[in-house]
Amino acid sequence: MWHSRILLTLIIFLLPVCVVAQKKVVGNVVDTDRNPLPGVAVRIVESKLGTVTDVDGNYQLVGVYKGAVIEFSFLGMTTRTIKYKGEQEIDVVLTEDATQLDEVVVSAKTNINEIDIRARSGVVQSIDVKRVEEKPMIDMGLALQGSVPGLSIINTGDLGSVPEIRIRGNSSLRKGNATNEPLYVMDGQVITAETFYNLNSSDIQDIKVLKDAAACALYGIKAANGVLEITTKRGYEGKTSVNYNMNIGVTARGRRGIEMMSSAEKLELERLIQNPETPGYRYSADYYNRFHSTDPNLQNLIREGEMKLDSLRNINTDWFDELLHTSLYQKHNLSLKGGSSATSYYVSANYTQQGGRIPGNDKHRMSMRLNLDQRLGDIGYLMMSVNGGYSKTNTPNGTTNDPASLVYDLNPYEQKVGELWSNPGRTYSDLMNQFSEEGTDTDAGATASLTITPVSGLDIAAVGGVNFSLAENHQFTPSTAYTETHSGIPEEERGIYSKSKLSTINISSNVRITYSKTFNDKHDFTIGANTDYYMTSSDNVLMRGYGVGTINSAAAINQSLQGNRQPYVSGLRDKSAQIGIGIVSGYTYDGTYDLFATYKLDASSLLPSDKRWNSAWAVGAGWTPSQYKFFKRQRVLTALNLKASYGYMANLNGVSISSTVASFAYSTSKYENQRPLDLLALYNSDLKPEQTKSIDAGLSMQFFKRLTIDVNWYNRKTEDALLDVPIPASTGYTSLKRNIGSLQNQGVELSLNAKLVDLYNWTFIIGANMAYNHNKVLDLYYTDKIYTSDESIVPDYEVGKSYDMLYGPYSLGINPLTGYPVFLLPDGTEKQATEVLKPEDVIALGYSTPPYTGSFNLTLTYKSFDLDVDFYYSLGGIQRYNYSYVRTKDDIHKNAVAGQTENMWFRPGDQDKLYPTPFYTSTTAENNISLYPNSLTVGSSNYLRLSLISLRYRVPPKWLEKHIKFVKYANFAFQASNLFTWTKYSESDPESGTLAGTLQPVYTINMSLTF
Amino acid sequence: MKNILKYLICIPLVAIFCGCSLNIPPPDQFSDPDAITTVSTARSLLTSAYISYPHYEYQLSILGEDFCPTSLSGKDVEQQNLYRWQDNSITELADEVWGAYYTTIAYCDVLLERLPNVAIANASEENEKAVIASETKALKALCYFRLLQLFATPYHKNIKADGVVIKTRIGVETIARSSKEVCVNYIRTLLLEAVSTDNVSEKNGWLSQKAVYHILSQLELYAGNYTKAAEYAEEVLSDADESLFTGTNYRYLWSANSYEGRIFAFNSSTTYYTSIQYDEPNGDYFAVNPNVKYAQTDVRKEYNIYPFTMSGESRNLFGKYNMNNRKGEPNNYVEMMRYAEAYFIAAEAYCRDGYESKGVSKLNHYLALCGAEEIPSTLSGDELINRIVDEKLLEFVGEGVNYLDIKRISNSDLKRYATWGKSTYSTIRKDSYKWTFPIPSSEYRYNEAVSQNEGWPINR
Repeated sequence: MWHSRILLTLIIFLLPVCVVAQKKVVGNVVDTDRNPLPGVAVRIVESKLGTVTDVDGNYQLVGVYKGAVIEFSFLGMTTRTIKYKGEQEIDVVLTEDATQLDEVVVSAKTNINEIDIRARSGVVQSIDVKRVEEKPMIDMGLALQGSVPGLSIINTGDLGSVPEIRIRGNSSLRKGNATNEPLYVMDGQVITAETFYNLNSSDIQDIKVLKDAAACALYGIKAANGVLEITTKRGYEGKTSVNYNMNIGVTARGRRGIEMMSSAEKLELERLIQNPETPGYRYSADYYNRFHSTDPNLQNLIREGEMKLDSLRNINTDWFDELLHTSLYQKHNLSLKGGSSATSYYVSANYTQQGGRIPGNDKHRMSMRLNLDQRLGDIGYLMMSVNGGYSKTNTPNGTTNDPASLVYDLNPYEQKVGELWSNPGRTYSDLMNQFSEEGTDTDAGATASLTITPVSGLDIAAVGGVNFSLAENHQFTPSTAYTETHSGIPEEERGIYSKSKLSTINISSNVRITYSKTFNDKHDFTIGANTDYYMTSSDNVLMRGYGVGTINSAAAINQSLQGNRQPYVSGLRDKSAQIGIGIVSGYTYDGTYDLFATYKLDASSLLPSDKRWNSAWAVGAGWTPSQYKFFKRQRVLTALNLKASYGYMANLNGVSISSTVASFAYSTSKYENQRPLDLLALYNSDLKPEQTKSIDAGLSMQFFKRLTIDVNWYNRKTEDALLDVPIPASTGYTSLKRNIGSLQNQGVELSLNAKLVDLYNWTFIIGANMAYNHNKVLDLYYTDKIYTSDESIVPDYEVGKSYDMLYGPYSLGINPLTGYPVFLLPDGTEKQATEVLKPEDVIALGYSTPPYTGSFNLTLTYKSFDLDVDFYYSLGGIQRYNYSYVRTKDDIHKNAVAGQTENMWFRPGDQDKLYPTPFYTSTTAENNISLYPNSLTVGSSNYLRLSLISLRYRVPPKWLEKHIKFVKYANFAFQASNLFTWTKYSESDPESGTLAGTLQPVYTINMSLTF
Repeated sequence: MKNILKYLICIPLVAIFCGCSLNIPPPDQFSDPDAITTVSTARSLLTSAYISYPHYEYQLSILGEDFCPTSLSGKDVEQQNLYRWQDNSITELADEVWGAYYTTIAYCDVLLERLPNVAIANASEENEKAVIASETKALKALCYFRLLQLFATPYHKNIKADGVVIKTRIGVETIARSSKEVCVNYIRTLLLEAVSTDNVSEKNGWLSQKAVYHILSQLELYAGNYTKAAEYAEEVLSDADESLFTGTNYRYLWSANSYEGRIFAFNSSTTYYTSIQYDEPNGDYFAVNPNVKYAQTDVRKEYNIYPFTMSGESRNLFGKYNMNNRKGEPNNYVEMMRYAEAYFIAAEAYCRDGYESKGVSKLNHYLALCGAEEIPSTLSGDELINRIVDEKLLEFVGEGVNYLDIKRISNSDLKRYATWGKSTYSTIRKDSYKWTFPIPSSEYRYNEAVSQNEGWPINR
């Protein structure tokens, strides 16, 4: 912009004659991402003259005169006005403005629940979809990590594992996704979590995170854990444009974590531990001297043994390199959009493939989408979408087979040929190709929505849709697998084939009527009502057969087998529905004061008819002092908004009909000539939904129009929290779902965005966010402590304590006399690990879920180059070390961690050791070490991850026009995700705490062409 | 315009509320109140109860005199520890046993609570409903009886002492243990209600009226009401065809098909008694106690003992189910009540009531039918009772009967043998606390009212 000003000054100096005449101005309008904006209204204020930008964002405005104010306005963008000073060309960048979306009378709103007024007092945050799309990652869920404070996403294992997605922590005492996962809504249609994980990020226009009751109450009982609202891309009025976007690259092995032993160290450790099943001891002089002391050939034996050991020392296989591999990543996306003033369309197809760290682990995904919009005269819109997707995940890891763990098990002196000391009786090939699992998700959906505005201010919208997903899982253990050939199974019964299919149908329909009216330009009223209906039906079928040999097919199942290996078929169907009616109202005075109230009544088929109806309501208020005139006079604090809300919601997630009434189903067993009818669970007819009450307060500030700071505080209390609590065994059952207590999640979220440089050629933006969540058990109705296992000495839930705290004794280290740890008790006395631990002996070691998470990012653009860098961090948590790689006499035949020899206690007097004795001498001590973590067997899980680097070059359109006419836009980029993790955690992955799973780095080259 | 609006608002609302009922029965589940309303669904639920009945006959045999260790016993430390009556092994077993019997009881309670709602259409259904009620009560009584035998001290030692928890309904209750006397009365009431239904079963897997008489005789023997015990045992034997379960027909008791010679046996479609086997070529973890000796003419020898070469010698491995497993034949029935037991119960009851010669001749009658050596009529008092128990071990070896007998009589110490029974490894004193299983932590941890048995720890 500055150079045009200089030019203008020159012109003024060179042409002293003031020409008062009408002129023509041309220019280009783009958004903040430099994408051209077609259809922007460009007009001269106070005149009727105006135009709109073409498909490339270009415009030409005639009749402009000096001093005229030119206004650029576009749906969803902040309107910009520029005073004309005689320039020939004015290029404009429009920024997005979510609060503006409803200003146009007939607006193409794909999500009918997205009501402007709820955002004024509730917490609705948008995810920067552009950054999500830049991350080369096949899992949509994981790519959202760090995008919005308070949206916590944790990777749980190898590629394709289901991530843990939470909004503001667990709202229930019950662990797991079924009860704590947010609700996913795409274009107004409820979708399953699996459909969400497998979405194509290129199809997404916008993702909104709804955190508090004021924002979520419209969705009622299903939304107690927050909502992710996804809006897909639509067509536009203009010439058809076709975009092809491709990423191709490699996936790397990731973090090594633990350094394992070299051959020389391992053989020495074996000698010290004296297990004759290991070569280090078996071929040592110690062994021969002890067991062959009278052999006349003793010296020869020792010499031969030494030679054998020497040859083993010379082999140093790095199993990390051998077993983990680099693989391929590719993504191809083709989209087509365009339309007329009446009809517009968006069509896309996508293929993505990511290879995992271990051979046999990879994921493929294909998806298609068609969005079609039709304007209905002047009063409405009809929008239709059809989408389908298919994804496939392969893994060789099963419950009894885990090749990833072999990195830590196989000895450095072992090779891919020959029998293994670490797995007696087996060779390397007996460990590979033992098991394969293939999981596929197929989903298809269709949505139609109708929005009509019969009179000004009245919107009637309806959306109906169906989402179908089919999850198939297929497992195969060939007859040649070691477990099959060495378990006494007759040959004709070997080989296991199993297949399960789970089909889920979600039907949702939603009708919303909203009326908005402004009186005297100051009083904005909105009232609305809605009804919705959700139905979920699932059908699960499992079959398992034996005797398939090496044929990976159901056709090969040996149907003649009886007993344990007879063919097995089981199934479970489930169906539930929910009806809701709600009202919403809002009032804004002069853009300064906002009031908002909503009430929703939901009924669920899961509850007995007398307890079926449950309510959700919320009230909120907002205050924008920056609207005052006196505020506008200063230029430091350019915007200020405060808001607060209180809401109440019921939560029924994870409750099935069998938990409230006695339900029976036929089981697969048999007795005489009868088939048994099983009681599915011990039922609790007093069961009530969980009640969530939340208070939120938010402050939003903007300084110098450049620095934005958002602070949100929340306190969410869950009453009547449900939990499967252990019950006396004399009931015949081990647990019962009960309303057991109340809990609280309290936290603060902070985000900051600063536009440090904002010139036409240069922009430099930095952003940071942080979320803090603290949870606490407030009350347990029947007791003050709950132990979910009757073995534990540590309560899983205790009044006044956090419910994801790890407890254990404080360890003073290894006692030089016993070789087992000594614990320092809270009362200051010491206790040997060989004594039984009592509940009062343990302390809180730390949080298993990190309380602090966040990200920071920077965006730098210079002319045609864009650089995006994202970091993600997690602080304050601990993980328990796996320690499976620290070997004792029983498992010394497997490889051990480097340094174990010098850090392990072997004999009385060994001082300052890290690892306890490898010789089993005390059951109590072994239990104390294995059952409970202690202060020395946990590590801080703090980490900082470089999660994204994207460097993009946009080929100048003028160059393209000159040289490659048929290409309108072309971009080339280097994009990489999860490049590096900094952590002090000594095992491989501080995030999942597993030895196998870590987010693999992916490096790609990207090309995007628009025709 | 107003009219249009009205329609626009009303139509979707009406459509939603008419079209979408929330009374959705799960497609493959039956929920109350419509779940158990016919005799066939009631029978199916009872079937589940039968299937859930736990089988610890092997573990109880390890604890009893039935077995001795073999050269392979050390390969399974857990089984070896149980044989040696180690506290933690008994604790673990007790935890399993307690929960498992109460699961069956819960199934019976669920059914008994719903049985009044079962509709009947004709006389045959009415009869079937009465039979189901009778079987359910008998099964429930059987579970309580086993729990009492295992978790309470021998009955004659203070009948007011703690027995087991008597549930009053399905669901969570924190109730204390009833006294042994109350428990016995409760079980007796259940059995007397059950026995009032005339119920003859075609298949071994259903509890018939005769089976209920059999449990009654066991219960009265346990409670020391010997006259009653003998009466019920005689009732069991009253119309029994002796040739069906003695002589060459003894083998049918271990066959895969339902057989008239049994009173009651649990039908099983899974594996049974496989834990005793180490592997096919090498042998078992336990062999039959060398004191279990059969006369050459005894027909039971061929089926109760399986000769097998281990450590270079022919050893007496356990026969019965183990023999079937080794021969690859299925074990479809788990013997629970056999006519033979009625002779032993009657014999012991007569002897204890002072009719020793009647008792001896009752037993000798059966032993003669089996081709076994008869017991001398010169025996009397404790010696005679111990001899009857020893003879009972010969009959019921491996069926978990001996442990309960020696606990009930509690007049002698129990020897734990070294390999092949060649020497004594240790001795369990007759007054040891270990004879009574501990109340598991899965109960006392969540039921404050329940007490622990003497000698066992409680860590709430």
